[in-house]
Amino acid sequence: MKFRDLFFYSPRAEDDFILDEPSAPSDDYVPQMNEGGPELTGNYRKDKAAFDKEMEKDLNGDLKIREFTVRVGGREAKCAAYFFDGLVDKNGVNDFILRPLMMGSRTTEARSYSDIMNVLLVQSEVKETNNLGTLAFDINFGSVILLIEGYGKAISVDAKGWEHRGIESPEVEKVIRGPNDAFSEQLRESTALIRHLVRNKSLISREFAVGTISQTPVSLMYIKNVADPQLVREAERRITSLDIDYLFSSAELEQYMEGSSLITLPQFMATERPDRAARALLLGRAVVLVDGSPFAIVMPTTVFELNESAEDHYLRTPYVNVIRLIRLMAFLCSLLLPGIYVAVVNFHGEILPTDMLISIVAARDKVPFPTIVEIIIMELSLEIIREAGARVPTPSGTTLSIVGALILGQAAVSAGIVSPILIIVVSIAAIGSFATPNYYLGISARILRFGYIFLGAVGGFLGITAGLFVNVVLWTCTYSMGVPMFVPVAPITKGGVPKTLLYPQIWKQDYRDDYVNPLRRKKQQSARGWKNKEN
Amino acid sequence: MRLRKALAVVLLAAALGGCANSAEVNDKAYVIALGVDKGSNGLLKVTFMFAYPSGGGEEAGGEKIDEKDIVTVEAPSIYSAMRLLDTFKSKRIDTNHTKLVAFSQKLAESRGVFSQLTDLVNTRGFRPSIYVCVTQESPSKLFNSMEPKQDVFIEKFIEHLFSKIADSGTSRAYLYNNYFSAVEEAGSYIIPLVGVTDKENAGGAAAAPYQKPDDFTLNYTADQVPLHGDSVAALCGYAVFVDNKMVGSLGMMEGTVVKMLEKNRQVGQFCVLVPGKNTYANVNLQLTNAPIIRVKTGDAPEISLDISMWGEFTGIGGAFKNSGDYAEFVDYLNGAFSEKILELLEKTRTEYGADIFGFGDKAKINFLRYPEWEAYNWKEKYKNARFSVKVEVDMNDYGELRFSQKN
Amino acid sequence: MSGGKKIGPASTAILFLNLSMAKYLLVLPYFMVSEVGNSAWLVILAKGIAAIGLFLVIAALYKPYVGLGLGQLTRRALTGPVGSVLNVIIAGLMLVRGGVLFRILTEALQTLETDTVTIEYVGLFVLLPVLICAMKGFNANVNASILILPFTVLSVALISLVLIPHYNIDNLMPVLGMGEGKIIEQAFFRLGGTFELIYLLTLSRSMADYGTFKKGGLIGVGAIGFFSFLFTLIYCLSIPYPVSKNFFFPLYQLTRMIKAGSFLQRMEPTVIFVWTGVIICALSTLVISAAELLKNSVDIRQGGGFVPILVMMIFFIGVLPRSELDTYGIYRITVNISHYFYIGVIFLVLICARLRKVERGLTYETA
Repeated sequence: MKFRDLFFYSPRAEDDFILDEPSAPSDDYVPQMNEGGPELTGNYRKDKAAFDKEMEKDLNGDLKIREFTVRVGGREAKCAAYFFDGLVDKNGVNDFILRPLMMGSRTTEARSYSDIMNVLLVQSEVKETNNLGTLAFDINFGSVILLIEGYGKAISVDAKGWEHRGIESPEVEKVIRGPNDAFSEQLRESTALIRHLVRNKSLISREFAVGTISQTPVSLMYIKNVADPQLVREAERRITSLDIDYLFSSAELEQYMEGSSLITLPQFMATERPDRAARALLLGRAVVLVDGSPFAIVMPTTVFELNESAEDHYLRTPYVNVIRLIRLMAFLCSLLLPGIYVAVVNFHGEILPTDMLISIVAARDKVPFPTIVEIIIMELSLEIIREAGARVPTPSGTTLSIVGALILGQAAVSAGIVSPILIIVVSIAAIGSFATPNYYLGISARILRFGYIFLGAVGGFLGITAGLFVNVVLWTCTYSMGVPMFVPVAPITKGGVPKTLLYPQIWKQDYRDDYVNPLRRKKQQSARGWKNKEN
Repeated sequence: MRLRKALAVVLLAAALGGCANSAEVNDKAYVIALGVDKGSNGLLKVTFMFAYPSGGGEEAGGEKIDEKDIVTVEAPSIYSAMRLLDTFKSKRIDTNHTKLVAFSQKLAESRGVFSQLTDLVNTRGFRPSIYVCVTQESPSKLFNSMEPKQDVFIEKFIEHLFSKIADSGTSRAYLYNNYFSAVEEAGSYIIPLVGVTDKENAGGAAAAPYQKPDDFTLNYTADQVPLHGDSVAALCGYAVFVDNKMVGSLGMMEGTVVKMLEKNRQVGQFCVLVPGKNTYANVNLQLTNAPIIRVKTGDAPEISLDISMWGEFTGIGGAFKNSGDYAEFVDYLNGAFSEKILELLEKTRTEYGADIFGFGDKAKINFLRYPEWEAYNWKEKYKNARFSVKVEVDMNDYGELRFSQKN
Repeated sequence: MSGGKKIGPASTAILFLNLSMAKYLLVLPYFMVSEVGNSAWLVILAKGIAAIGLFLVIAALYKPYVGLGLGQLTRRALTGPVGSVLNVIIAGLMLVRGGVLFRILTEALQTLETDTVTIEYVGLFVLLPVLICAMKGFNANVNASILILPFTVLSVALISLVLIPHYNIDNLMPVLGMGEGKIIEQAFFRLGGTFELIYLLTLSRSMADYGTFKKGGLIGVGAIGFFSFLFTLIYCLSIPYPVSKNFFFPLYQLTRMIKAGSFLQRMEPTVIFVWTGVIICALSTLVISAAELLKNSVDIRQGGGFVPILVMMIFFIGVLPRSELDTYGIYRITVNISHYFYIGVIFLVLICARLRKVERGLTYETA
């Protein structure tokens, strides 16, 4: 977005979420991965030389080639097995590829070449192709490539078996009641976790390879007869239109896909919890998973969803409502409290009770700096401590927190650089940003806080009001996949406002949000059958 | 591009220009109380009481009381006094935290306080919700005598002292109410009166002679309160203003009646000498509902008050032997109260000839249009007013009062 | 400009409410009380009913043209320069209204700050958001209004609750105030809400259909009538009559009377906090509608270029010094004329449109 666009804004076509009649999904578009590249000729020696060249055999140290002979139709045929060391499961390769070919072909007669695939290779995923590009992709993805003399085609046998992290409990979105597994870096494992929860044939997992070099598998998941086809088409359009060399994580993909990059508001929700992703799917959202990244992107989202924590659905209604209120207050504190403090101290001393004012005066009397300098010193040092905390090794972490929190704070007060009340203000604001469930939203508050401090110092409450107004205007004009971020409050959608203010009982949540335009609007009806007299 | 840069510079300059308005809280001196007295040559003697923190951060939470800083200047008006103050005070004067404005009786009697009230209401720094009082001595003496023992902060002391009459429903202590009455009721109103007894005389010579301790006759004025303690400033009674000048004062018992008329629920504790017996009964009285005041307008307005109270005995000291005694006592209370109230109303009518209790408000209901009301001239008509007062006390009889029929 | 999505009835009502709230609650009680005395609340009630009636009549007449907007209708009903000139005049009157709102806000803020605030300084903090919001377009404005409105309602509710101990029913007596003649004159001969009608008609371009227009307008007129009635009643109840003539900002005076207790000593800054937001919203809607009118009168598609100029003009109208003809002077002149002018314009345009059989479809807009 250009600077000019901040002022001359016109909604783009993709930002306009048109609420029209749902239509049937578009023709199945299956993007072809890595097409092109030379074909195999059928001549074993030539093909082997070509494949060696394709795979840079002389340069790639981890490319292993095992040459042997296999007995087919009564005669010995030369054979070469290509694989990357580390990407394949060695025992599997030995037991289920090499052993059947080298020994089995001699005991069990392979009458023709087709018997190799039909009889000998006891593997679940075996295919034959003569496209070098496809072969290169497969070998990079943990397959063993077999070139057999006289066969004419290459066989690609899946033998994935690289070392990876298993399924662990979530790091960021911890809950007390509720499932405790998290996505891992394995795309397949992650999609399996979701499929395990949804257990329905309507769950679609569209696969794409993003990045001309990295060929990162990306999975777009949605539920066919719930999600809005337009949403799916738009997500598909945004993913397939990417012209990039590599992609490593969903955080990158999020940045490629979002509408406005300069607005501090995150426009997608990232989650590491399969249950959260599955719930989003069932509510009509689309979920994007990227291989190598344990976070799923949920789209579209709203600010109110960003303020929801993973546990909200597992808590009883009264608890959730109170906790959500506290969380909102925490966010507002984190955003505005230092600014309001500066404004009050500089402009509106009269709103404080006299006793409190006198104690603030007493605390501030020894401080040589104006409040704005004082608060910026504290905020900056806090940010430095926080940033350092993310880098230091865990054993030194405690030392850092002691030095940072206790010694520095105490010393700053005794040295008369800052007043004790200010430390309280800064700490509440800092803690508030941690209480915000969405990490990006928390960072957003941390950054904007400086703006409000400046405005508060320059214009008091008037400045903060002006800033808030501009902030609200810019935020409400932000869209997440065409859905305004402040929906259902601004713009108002039917029945959305009461639901946003007060989270209803679980058996009253009969409908899916209409701003995502689901194909199935009703989720449940009279959910508690036992309450009905007839039953 | 150049235009944009120029615009940015202008905006930044304008934005930073705002900083000029700001003043840190610790760069200001906070006036806690303001006193206005009559000075020489027609000037006003304006006394400021500042609160400033003692000790600072380390002693926060300690017992040390704020020190007072009392300054008196002579100037033609409150504003000029503040301007004068600015010349020798290092910090900016801030009146936003003023709690109390005290006028001296001398000033109130000679010049009245209306112009000061108007000034204060229309000044940004002073809020209409601050307390006003008239002090019998000079304000500086009053401020000096304020030595809180149980409050840590002096402003808390003032708050507590005045909220005792203000919070319980009597709005006479607030600036805006007095201003409203000053404009509306043709300058007849009452302001709380604060008396100061010299420490040496406390509970001594100045105190009224010890009479029968019956609340009905105990009508001390502010300077007569027999104080036996350190606190020498006493809130007692009201100063009466007619035509915006102070003409007299109401004592403690009369203050109680004012409370009743002001719809104050809690009327108070009374120690009543039971007629015919030499013992006392302690009663705690509350209004059951706001007094019903009806005004019939005419050449001689007829004002009827209907006050119903609910009470409980807090101590009877063996005064009652049977239920007959009890009924008799209640009758006595009813009679005594109506008598007292009538007495007070007649006294104020004849003595001051003005409607200081604001019966005019009730009289308005007889008119449809404002010009008619103005033409009626309540101020003159009130001088011929006739009163009728009916008091009904409903006593709660608790366990102790269940008389056995034998007695 | 007002491109993008069409708005629904709730948004229409809220937008309308926000625009009117600023003026109606900040200064209207004062004007009414100084005219008719302590029966101002009765007048407001009557005025509200009259305004609803007027709205229903005009809505019925306007039915075929919803979606067109007053600016275009004027152009087409009164062909050529007449329509353009009318549009420009209405836009000018809107700017005067904006200037007055800006001036009111400035003075309200000056009562808040202990030291004098320069008007340029307030101008920066008020008009910069107005500029950004107006540039962002109509939907941004609607959204901001929706988010601000609850706070406005909350602040009115809070004030009326906190002030309960100050209510004195005797302050409403004598019940007819300065006399029934004045009440009738104020209520039925000086029609209220005519400006709001013009504004609603201008914005009807962004409304989906007649249902939205009618429902939104009705809720808006009803709600603003209710709120201003409530607020004037509170004002009349809390402050006795001769005194209430003296306060220019009833809202401010009422909040000043509040003794909020030990947590917040004073309420004024926090309340003004909300009201500044309301006025920013109102100003940006005014700017958008004025730009819309100007755009229609010169036949161009983009109205965004007008916005900075209009904002500056509001500033200059707002800062007219108190010499011969200040902001309020201009406003008083326009108010006296415009009561009848607006109604006249609306009826003239509607009758001409009917006679000339103007069709609803868009012509140059889609070209």
